[in-house]
Amino acid sequence: MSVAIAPIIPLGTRRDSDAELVGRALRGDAWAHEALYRQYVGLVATVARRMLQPSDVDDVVQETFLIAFEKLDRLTQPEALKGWLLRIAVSQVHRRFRFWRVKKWVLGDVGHAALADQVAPGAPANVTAELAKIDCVLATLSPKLREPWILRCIVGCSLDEVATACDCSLATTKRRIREAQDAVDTFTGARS
Amino acid sequence: MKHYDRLREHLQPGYDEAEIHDGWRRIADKRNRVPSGWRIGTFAVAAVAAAALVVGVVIWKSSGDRRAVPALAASSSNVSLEAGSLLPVMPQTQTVALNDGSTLELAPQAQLRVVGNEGARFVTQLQQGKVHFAVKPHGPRRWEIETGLATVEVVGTEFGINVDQRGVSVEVAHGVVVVRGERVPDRLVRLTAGQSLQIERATVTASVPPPALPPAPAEAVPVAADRIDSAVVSSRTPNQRSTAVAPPVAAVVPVPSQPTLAAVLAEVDQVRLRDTNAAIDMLSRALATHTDDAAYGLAAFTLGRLALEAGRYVTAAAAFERVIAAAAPFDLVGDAYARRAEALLRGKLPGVALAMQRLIEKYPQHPRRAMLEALANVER
Repeated sequence: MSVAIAPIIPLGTRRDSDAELVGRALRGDAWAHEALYRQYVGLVATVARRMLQPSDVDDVVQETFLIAFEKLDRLTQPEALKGWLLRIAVSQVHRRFRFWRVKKWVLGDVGHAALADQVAPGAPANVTAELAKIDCVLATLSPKLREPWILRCIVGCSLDEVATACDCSLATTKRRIREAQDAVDTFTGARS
Repeated sequence: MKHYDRLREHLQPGYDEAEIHDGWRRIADKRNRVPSGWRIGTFAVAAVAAAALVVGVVIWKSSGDRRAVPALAASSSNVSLEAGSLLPVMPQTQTVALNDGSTLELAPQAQLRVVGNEGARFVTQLQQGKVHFAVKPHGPRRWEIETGLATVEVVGTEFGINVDQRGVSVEVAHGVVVVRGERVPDRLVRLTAGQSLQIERATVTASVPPPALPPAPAEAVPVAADRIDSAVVSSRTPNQRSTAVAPPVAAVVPVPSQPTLAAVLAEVDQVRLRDTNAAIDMLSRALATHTDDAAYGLAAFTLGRLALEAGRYVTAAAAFERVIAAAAPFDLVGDAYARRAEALLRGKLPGVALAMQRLIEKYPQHPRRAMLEALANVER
């Protein structure tokens, strides 16, 4: 009788996969929750920071992971964890946008995240200037165009991840990114 | 896109190390706290929300009975689907039609027991033999089939399961099923139409070269031979035939089944509430024989944490060294460096300076660094 043997992975090259960590988390291991958090907190925080005011970032990160941990048992494809977390994070960003609309109506003042304010110390001046121009364009775009463009160009997500995060088809995602890109190019002088 | 890559490089990261640490602390606090309700600005909003909640509860309660899903029943009166009942074992193939349009086709001598039939959930245990399930799609209930080696979950599809002495095989004809189990690759596999999964009952032992660990303290647990469970995922497409490849194995002999590290960890979670030292010993023994288990790094980290809290600093330092050597779990390696230094410091063991140097080199912004440096000053 032939016996199938699982491949032996040498120690030192092994890395706990999302599926393994999700499995452990579902069994109640707090360390698996923390490992998942550490794996993806950078991405979630970056998404929030690039789209929202700094004061909202912590709330979005916390809410994203609290919701994710609460609904982890509904994740039928643990390998799709990254896209799933992105979708939760973007939905939390939307919640803030809705609040902003009310705030704008009441107070007449609302501000989006300014990319130019997030430049690391020591960055060239032309980078700050270019991001300031991009900020001006993004402020004129609707969230439907702004979010996929930021996810793709500023956060660096793949098209598939952007489509999952924005809960729309790949074709729609590409179209929205292209429209936003046209606006950015026109304003920044890349297309004249 | 390269242009934006360059811009991205000049942007600050979403979170720095301290924010990551603080963020986790807040999340852990919130998860441990009893839900205190939504943040509501004014008393008026709170009152409206409470009233809406009451109305919602009343509506939900009143509509609950109407929407209750009836339990499954067989069309034939001589087949009972009550929890605990065993479907008739027949010498020939029999088909059981259910009142939701689903059918079960039991091969001769197949033994299928109903474990639960609660309307929204239908749980069976296939003890032996082959059963073909045709579950009506978009039905109101979730089907679960326990096989001992794995659990098959499905909403609506057509698939067959065979349980015999060699193991369990699942073949999907239409739709999608999810197979969960300790012996399933990554503990969970999603099978689509045309795919099959075989989980073999047989276990083998293999001599695995021990990891290249740096010199460990005296209490360190030795690394020994490992047990490997076998599972083969295959598709009917010839090019995707198998994902499991047999590596060189020094000796292959049958051994009694042992629990996986995940199972040991689950048990340790309970034992450590009563007796930390017993939990430490359990983990030490399990790590010695499960060096290739997927949960090895997590188990070593857990051992380190427990040993550190129990004051068994030599064991703790050795355990964290294992995490570092295994580089898993990837995101806890930084903590392993820090906690190894802490164990050596608290235990007044040799190698503190080197451990601190390694931590600072690899994780200069680690949130535990300041605490460790303060502790080192006190120890001096």
